[in-house]
Amino acid sequence: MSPAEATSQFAAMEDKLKTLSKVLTTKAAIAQTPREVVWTLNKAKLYRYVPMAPPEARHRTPLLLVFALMNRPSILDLRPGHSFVEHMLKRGYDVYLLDWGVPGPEDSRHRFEDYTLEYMPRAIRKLKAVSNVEEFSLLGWCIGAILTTIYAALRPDDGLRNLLLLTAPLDFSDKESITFAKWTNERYFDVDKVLDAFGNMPAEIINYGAKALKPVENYVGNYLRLWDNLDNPNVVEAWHAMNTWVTDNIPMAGGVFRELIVDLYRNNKLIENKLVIRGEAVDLSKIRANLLTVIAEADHITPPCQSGSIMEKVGSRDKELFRIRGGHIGIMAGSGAAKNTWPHIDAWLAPRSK
Amino acid sequence: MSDKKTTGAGFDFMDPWRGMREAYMEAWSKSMIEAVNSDQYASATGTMLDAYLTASAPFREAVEKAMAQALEQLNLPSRADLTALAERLTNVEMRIDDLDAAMHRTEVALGRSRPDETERRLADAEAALERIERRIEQAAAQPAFAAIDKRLDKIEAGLHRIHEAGADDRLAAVLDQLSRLEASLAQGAPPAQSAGRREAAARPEKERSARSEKEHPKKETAKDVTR
Repeated sequence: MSPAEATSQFAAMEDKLKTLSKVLTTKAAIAQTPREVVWTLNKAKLYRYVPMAPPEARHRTPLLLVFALMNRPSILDLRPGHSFVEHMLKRGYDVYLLDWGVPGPEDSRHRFEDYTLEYMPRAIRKLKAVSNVEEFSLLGWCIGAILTTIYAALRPDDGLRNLLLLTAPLDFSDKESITFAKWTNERYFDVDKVLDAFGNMPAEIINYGAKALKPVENYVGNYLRLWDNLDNPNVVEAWHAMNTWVTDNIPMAGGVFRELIVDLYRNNKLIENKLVIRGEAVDLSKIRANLLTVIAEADHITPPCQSGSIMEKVGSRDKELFRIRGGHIGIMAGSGAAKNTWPHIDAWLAPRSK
Repeated sequence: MSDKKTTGAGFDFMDPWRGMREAYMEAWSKSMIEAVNSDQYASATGTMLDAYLTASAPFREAVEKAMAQALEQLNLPSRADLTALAERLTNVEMRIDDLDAAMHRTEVALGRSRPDETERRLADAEAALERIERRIEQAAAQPAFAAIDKRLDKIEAGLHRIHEAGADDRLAAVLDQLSRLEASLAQGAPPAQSAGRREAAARPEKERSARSEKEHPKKETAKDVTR
């Protein structure tokens, strides 16, 4: 190696280290699509995105996005040019996002009934008033899919026209395939003791649990992939945005966490129509909205066995089960999302949104 | 973030063992996934968490107790007080939200709201008018309508000529005479008229009545009243 080559390679290495330092110590600009707050209640906010399609190309039925309770919904609008929200806006949808916010100690008693019978109906009431419509579409992802399913079963006459469930953890019968079910088994995990100590379920524990499902990928492979691509700005930018989202966790309200563990993970009440919310049984056969269920075949957080059985339980006549290669987050925010998942959702939803 | 893109294979201290890394990473990952999915792992993590909570509980309770006492001494609200207050605030917020929605429904019922709907209906009406205008223009361009148009022009020109000849003044004079005649008849007295004017007024009147009687012999016409 000549001195000139050595100098050049050391300069390249210096650039890589600078990039690495920046990516690991700063936050990327995510959730950049223009939007306005149209409703708030406690920590929850309802955003309406600024339309991108010309008026004649817009769909009449608005789309409400509901994400999980323990992560930021910014994953739906990760970065310009790679955002599900942006994709749907360009295809003429009137897009709303329900952001649950960060629960404080005063929210530790929030339960499924608060989210599905207090927050969601009010947010939807506002959506209908703002868009001047009676019908709407609802997309729930992860825990958001549990909330939207409960809401759809309890309020079937509220104008819900289309229900989209992404990686929905609804059926907990196959406990061997669900790692979380093992960890939260009553023999090993005392949920009341944890919540007595913390009030809400701490974000750090939830984050650890999610990463520990695939420890090598999350704690080693992820960083090696970054190192290998430090000279590729596209990969670095995508990694930075995803890392910003992944590391920004929020706690989960204690009441709803207890119900999630006891009623769903341990007793599988939702899919068996045994869940009771504020004295009212959650009967899945009451769901009549058009239904699209999306399953990620390599999902380690919500294994495919948790999402399929809803199809036999609902009363919907128009329903479709869509299986796609990818992981829990990757199918909606990975590099293949714009080519596979998003177009399929649009193709299914567009004719049902007129 | 660096935008610089290296083109060659720069020095990387991981290069020598990258191949080996790739070969073993998948196997390592699979074995770790199996490990965390085992009852032993669940038991171990559960035990660790339980031990931590058990060990930290006395300290946590002591800190909470001391803090509550200190705040009480300083006459400041405790965490529990603020939490209760925040819960009440959320309930108040919900009631305000319901009131807001009720007000919106009332406004809609009164027809003072839904500007978008009004706007849409106005736009529809405008579009309909434009369509009608276009159809009239299209119809007017057809030959039959052109002929009618010409005749209307002729009538308009004739009216203009009558106007130019002072027919308006004469007609006004006749109408004035008629109204005076009517008034005098109502009072039972003969109208005060000059002979020349009476003749001039009566002449066309006579002609008209003769023509009318010829055409409708049995019908009482307006001339009987005016006479």
